[in-house]
Amino acid sequence: MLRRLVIFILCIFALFAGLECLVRAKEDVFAVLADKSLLREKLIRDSSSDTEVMILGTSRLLDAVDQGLFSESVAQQTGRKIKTFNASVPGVNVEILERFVAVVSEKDEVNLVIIEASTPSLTQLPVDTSGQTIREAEGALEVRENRFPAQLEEWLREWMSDHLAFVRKRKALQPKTLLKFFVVATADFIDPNLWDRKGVGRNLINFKARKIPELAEDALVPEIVSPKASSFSSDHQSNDPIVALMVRITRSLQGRGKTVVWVVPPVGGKASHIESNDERNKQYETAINLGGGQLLNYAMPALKSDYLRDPTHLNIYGRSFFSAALARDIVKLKVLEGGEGSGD
Amino acid sequence: MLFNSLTFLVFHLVLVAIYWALTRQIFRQVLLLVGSVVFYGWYYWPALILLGISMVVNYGFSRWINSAGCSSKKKVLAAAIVANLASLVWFKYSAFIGENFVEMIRVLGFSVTSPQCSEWLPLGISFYTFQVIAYLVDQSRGKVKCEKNFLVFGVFKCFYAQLVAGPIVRAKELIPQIKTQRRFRVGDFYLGLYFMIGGLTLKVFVADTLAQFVDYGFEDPSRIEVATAWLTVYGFAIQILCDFWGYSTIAIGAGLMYGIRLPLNFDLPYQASSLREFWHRWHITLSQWLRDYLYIPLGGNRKHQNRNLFLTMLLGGLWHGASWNFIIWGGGHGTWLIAERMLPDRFAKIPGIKFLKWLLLFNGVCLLWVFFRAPDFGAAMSYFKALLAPPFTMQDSPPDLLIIMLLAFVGISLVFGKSFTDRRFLQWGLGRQILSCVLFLFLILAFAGSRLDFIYFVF
Repeated sequence: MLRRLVIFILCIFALFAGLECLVRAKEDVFAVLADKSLLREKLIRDSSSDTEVMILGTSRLLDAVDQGLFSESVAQQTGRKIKTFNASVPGVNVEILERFVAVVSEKDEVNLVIIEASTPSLTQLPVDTSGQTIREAEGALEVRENRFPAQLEEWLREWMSDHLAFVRKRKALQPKTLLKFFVVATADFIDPNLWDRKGVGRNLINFKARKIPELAEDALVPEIVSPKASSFSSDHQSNDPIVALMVRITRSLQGRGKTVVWVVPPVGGKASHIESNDERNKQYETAINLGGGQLLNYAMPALKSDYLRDPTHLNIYGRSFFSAALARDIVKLKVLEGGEGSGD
Repeated sequence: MLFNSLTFLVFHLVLVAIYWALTRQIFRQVLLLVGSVVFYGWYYWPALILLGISMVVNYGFSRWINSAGCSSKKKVLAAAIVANLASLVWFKYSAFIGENFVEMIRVLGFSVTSPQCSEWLPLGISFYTFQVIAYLVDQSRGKVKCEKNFLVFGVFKCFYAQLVAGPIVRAKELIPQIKTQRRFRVGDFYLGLYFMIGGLTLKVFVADTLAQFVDYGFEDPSRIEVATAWLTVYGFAIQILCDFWGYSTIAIGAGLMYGIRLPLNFDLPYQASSLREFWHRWHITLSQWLRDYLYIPLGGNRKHQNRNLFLTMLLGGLWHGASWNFIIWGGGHGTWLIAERMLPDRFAKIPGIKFLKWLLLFNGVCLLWVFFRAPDFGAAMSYFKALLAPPFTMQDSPPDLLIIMLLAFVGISLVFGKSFTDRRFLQWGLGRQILSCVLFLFLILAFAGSRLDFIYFVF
């Protein structure tokens, strides 16, 4: 029994030593696994050198565009094979969007950047870290800090975090999160969204529904906003935060030779009026006039519920239709040839 | 010091190492007493004063009972029980009694201010009070001898592995183990290690992860839909089991590492098919205490059985806390036990009846848990509204992780459940032992986020 206990303890130590070595060797990967926006940022950075089209947005665009179907549809119309990466992430806020844009602008091979224009992507600010909850937590910490037992516990935790990489990155070791390790390894040849929030199983089941649909002439026709030559100004600033953000992003990407197309995804019911009303349309128009790029607004008219999972997210059928419609409209805009200021 | 803290891990391992390095039993007893005092004082050191007083007073009562004649023995025992219960009532129930008393006077039309009562609940007071009462009663019945060695009595009173939340150990089980010089047994140590890892998994992986969903659901039941509401109640049923089962398993494991065997406290209670069986499997040491020191003295099965049963469960509910919800919870269990006893079992031979009985029992127990978890009666009613009152909407599906955690519990329970109740781990092959523990350590490591207190610490 003693021999068995010794072997048991040695095996446990050996396995943790192995885990420690693995985490240290791949610390950059483990560091991003538990945070979907950091993971996506890494995937954008590591995306293959033939990715020409990058799509950035929230869960709305993530659900709306099947990157494979979009590429196939473009290839069917133009005869040219392209590679697309839908890098949208649920819950993207303004800060994350700008971070992604900065990474994309460094990728020379990307010609076209399609960015979601919607209420969440353009108005959602990062969580207020100076808020009440944080202050309360700090207050509680102060009380605890005065106690020796709490200090010792804190010290032990810090010591383990400082010296053991697998403790530092322990959130990445949760089974569901750890599965994403394969996302990083396979992202180059397998759609990373397959591993995303709906789960691999459900995505694989839905895979059979993935074929380019027949689009009627008047199906999903967007309102196109292009800059008016008379009002375009490369140095004009706006006080409107949405306009300012759109202009800033467009200019930074165009400055690196990328073409920018903003997309207002299709939505249903009342969401349609929230995403496309007079005020919002005016903002989009101003932003395109000031910053350049183009905008495809699919929010009006409201989409039928047959294509929606909920009022703001497309279902599997809506996804196929929209991917094909977006490819059709992108081809029409002739922005895939690349180059700065297409449509300017 | 919490069982699910690094400090405890270091503290316990160091103490175990020193314990086995010591060759004389008296030094080991001193180590256990000092260790237990440090463990208890670590959380809030002024509580040691109360623990110390309780220890000295009860040691005195024990000696007094021992020296008293037959006629005065009962009086001394009564005084000892009153003294212990008075301390329990003052710290645990005075605010509840005061509030209800004042409310009653206000109803009569008088204007009175609320009395100043104790707002501090010493950790584990219900557990160590019940344990010492059992010792004094057993001593007066002649079932155990008076322990004259204060050191041994002190370790019995406050052995840190089971001081704060049980198991409630009988003197005849624990005192001989404290007194006897034991040799290091690899099997016990190995099993103790497994129990500690397994118990921590139940707490950190299952209970603490489910706690997030349960807290969310019970905070405002109106924001969850019917399916989520039911799954949340199931979640709480599993959370409270794994929280307390986890604690008890760690306690038994910690004891085994010293070679001390503590009694089993849980035996897969949700697999029971009758409420009577459930109480034979849930918090076993409390159920046995209530049976031996409350139900039987009330008359047991001899006379007024239903009344005795109801009163025992009612007081069992009240033991958990000073609130009407606990009284309703205890009363509900009492009523059900009486109904179960009175209804004839005519359908036993119908196929599938066992499953139906289990289903009914599990859901009934879960519904009664609503009273246990809700902060007050109004909140419990709000939750029942979310569970049972139409219109039922199903716009949102329940969170994936909640479903996964419920399934994970079923998996753990089926594959490993029995291994936390007996010594079968030692019969497993080495590969299975290692794989099981690696899986558990992996889950503990990955899910150890917010360090939550054990639910039963407040009882």
